Amino acid sequence: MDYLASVSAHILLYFIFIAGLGKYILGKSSVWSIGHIAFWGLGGLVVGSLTVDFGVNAWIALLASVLFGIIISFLIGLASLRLDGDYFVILSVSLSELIRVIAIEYRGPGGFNGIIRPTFFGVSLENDWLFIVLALCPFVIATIIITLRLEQLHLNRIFLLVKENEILAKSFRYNPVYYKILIFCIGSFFATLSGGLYSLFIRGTDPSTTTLYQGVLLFAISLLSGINTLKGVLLGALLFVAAPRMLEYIITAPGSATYSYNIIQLVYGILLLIVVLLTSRVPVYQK
Amino acid sequence: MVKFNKTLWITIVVLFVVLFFITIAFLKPFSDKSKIRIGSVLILSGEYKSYGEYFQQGALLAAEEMNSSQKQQIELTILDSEGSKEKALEKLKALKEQKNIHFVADVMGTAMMRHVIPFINENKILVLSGVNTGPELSGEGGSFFFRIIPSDGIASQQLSKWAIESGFKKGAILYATDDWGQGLRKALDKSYRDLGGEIIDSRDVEVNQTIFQPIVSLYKETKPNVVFLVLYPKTAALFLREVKKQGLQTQIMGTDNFTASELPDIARDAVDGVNFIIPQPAGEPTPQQKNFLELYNLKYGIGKKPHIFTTMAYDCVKLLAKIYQETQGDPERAAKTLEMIQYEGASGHIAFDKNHDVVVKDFSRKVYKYDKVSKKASILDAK
Amino acid sequence: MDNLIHGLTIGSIIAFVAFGYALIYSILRFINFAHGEIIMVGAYICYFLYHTLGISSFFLSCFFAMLITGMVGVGLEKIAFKPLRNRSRLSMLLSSLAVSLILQSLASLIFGTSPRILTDFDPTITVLSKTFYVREIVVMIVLPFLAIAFFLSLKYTQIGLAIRAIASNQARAAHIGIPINTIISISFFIASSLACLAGIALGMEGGLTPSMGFKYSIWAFAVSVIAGLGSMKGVLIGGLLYGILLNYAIAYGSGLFADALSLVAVALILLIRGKGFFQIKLREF
Repeated sequence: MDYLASVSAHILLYFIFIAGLGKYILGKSSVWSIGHIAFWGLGGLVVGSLTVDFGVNAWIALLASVLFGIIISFLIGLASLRLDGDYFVILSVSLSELIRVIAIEYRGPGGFNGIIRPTFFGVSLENDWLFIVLALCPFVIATIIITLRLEQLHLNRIFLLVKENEILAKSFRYNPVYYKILIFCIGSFFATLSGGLYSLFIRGTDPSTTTLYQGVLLFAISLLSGINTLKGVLLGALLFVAAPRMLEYIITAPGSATYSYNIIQLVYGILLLIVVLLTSRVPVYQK
Repeated sequence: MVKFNKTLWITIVVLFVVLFFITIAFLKPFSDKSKIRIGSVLILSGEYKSYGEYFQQGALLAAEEMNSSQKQQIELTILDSEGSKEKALEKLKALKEQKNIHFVADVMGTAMMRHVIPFINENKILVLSGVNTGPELSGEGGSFFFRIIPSDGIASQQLSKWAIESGFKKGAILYATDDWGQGLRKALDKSYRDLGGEIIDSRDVEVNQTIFQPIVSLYKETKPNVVFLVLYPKTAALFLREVKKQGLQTQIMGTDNFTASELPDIARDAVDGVNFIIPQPAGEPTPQQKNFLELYNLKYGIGKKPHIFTTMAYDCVKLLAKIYQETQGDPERAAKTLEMIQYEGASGHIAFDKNHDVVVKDFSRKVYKYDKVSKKASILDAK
Repeated sequence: MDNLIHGLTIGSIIAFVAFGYALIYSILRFINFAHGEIIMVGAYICYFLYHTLGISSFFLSCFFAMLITGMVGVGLEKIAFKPLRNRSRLSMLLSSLAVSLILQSLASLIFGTSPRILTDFDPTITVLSKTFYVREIVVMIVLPFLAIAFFLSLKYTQIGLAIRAIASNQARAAHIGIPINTIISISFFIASSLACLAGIALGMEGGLTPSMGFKYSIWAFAVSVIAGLGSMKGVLIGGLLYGILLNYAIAYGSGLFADALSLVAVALILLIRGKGFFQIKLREF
């Protein structure tokens, strides 16, 4: 059951991340945050350093990391969302590499070790399943509820208007940059949250989850599956987590594991290409 | 996308995935009790893929040899950790739950190994490591972790000793920015200073770095007698080329990963005179070593030298299989047996001290010699 | 002083790569994530010609490799980018990501990840008591010639005019009868051949691996930011500067520091200045 717990936790965590990147940022704005994985890494980094180096309680560390993520994304958004979109893409990619490099510089490629899980009103969360039920599920449910509620607000319509036609939005006296920054911060909130929770789950940080390859894959899955519905977000998370693991279960002849990574990479590439070419799912953005 | 089908498709996929995982969680594998089930979690992708492959070669060789010569068959399952410590843990969980494996020939990578230690001790999974040299693993692995490769603590002492004995008192260290590099560098720094040496410069090198000119220029000015290369073969080779190009006079010293053929292949004539140590005593090869070399050459070609990881993997698998048979696959008894064992392997004599580290007889000193005529590099015993 | 000169040689290769990348960007306004992989593909094609097929002359292998890689670039454009040209630039970006994944994994599956040795020679030449690799000199010489040839043809040839027209306003250029498909194909051919040459130089230096091109993608992005997206002039200068920056960073810090420094430089330039230094006016359409 340990393995199942691990897979389930990964799915839930990436659900939150893809909700932030897909449903919010890509679904409600034209911000192409390809390096969004940076916030996942940031979440882990802050939680790691606060709990391991400063002995802070894990929940507080989590809260701090989320706040930190919001502040950073606010600053970045403020400074760069008025720029041409392509600049933002490169900035986004550079930032994700930068944060990864900083994490490795700070704690080595092995990341943090020994992050202590918090307790839930006195109940120890050392058992993986308890952690999933008492710590992860509440956040996932909260994410779902927040997202559904948000859709009913007038704010949502403004986001969509800005996304569709910035000039028209301006004519309604809505400042597009303001709304882009807002949605970017919200999306980063979810990403940092999921990254922080991940570090609590694995009791450490793992810089290999923050590479550009992972970030790009998540971006693609968020874009293709996670824009419209939460069901799509779930599907994206499932595919991202379950697909490689299912594949590996089938290929277990000794000696064949050397190829599985590259084969999966090839399959991802081809699938992505086919989907992009064949589908009109990718919305036509301005510019 | 056709609209009305979408929800149906999504539900089908979700159900399929959920069912798949629940099934493999509860479906106990056809635990073929008659087979010796051994697992391995290696790095088989990314920058360090070749090392995983070297190990895999040795493991497969051992399995093939034993399967052809005895009744009880070895079932080897090798999984890729992709260099991620969490994935390594997950793969280990998969090995335990899906294949009921409690005997593991290495979890490759010191960071990976450290991450899985609580799990292996809680779940009684015996791990025999042939590649993890991190000094911090000495005595920290619990009752179920053993390693047959000496810790870098020992390797660094041997290397420092050689440098000081040769009269090189001013040294510089170039190290890879990963756990291995940082660990060995720390150990080397300490042991070299303890013997009276002075480290004048110590800098890290990225795994895919290709720019070495500024470093060699710096060395030309600061003139270290010896440069310790705590690097992987490719970056080490590029550094050596730059050394040759700028005509820097210094002694280069490294460790056993200099046995990789990448080093002389890329460095070519720049590899001449490079010293390194390997955790294998010098002298006449034992029957086990001869046997292993024969098997290796049979499968991979005459004249090819096995990488140290291949040798280690061969011993890991054979030793694990042996004690599996002796204890009928009971990991606790197997661990106790290992503590007292005396075993002749292809990598030398294996016995464990109280830290579950291999008792080291001695390292041997090697040097590269490049023959300009044949354009080949060969490894000789250093004087 | 040594550091400066070496920085220039590194920067020349970076400028080389960034040049091809910027060419594509300036025409299509398309961030090509796969450009780094073309470098790798070019190098492997040369390896294949020289070692597997056994073409005896290395120069001939290089020449044909450049041609073939150019054709590969054109082919990729036709398959993966052309159909998306009118869709949206995000689609093309995603497509280039997909292509990059495909190329890397194919290279890994076909050639394995162990470094392949391209040549067992790498001649050096000593000029004024400084030793250089011949390939470095070649790149450093070709670069200015290339630049001059390019800018002259931009101004004085039909093709150059056509390129400027397309870069300025693709729809109108098509409207007045400029064969945009042909011109775009030509640009991809040029960019890919140049990338192949860079790949060969890199291969001679340290062997071929499937991921050898990745960091050049990142560097090309960084340089085009410093230079200003779409500015060909700026990219050449920016590339040289970037090489010098990297070299000094390694001299005074470490590999990790160099990586971080260059990324920080990019981030800072964007955040403070908002655009590159040679930024051309980008029209909205």
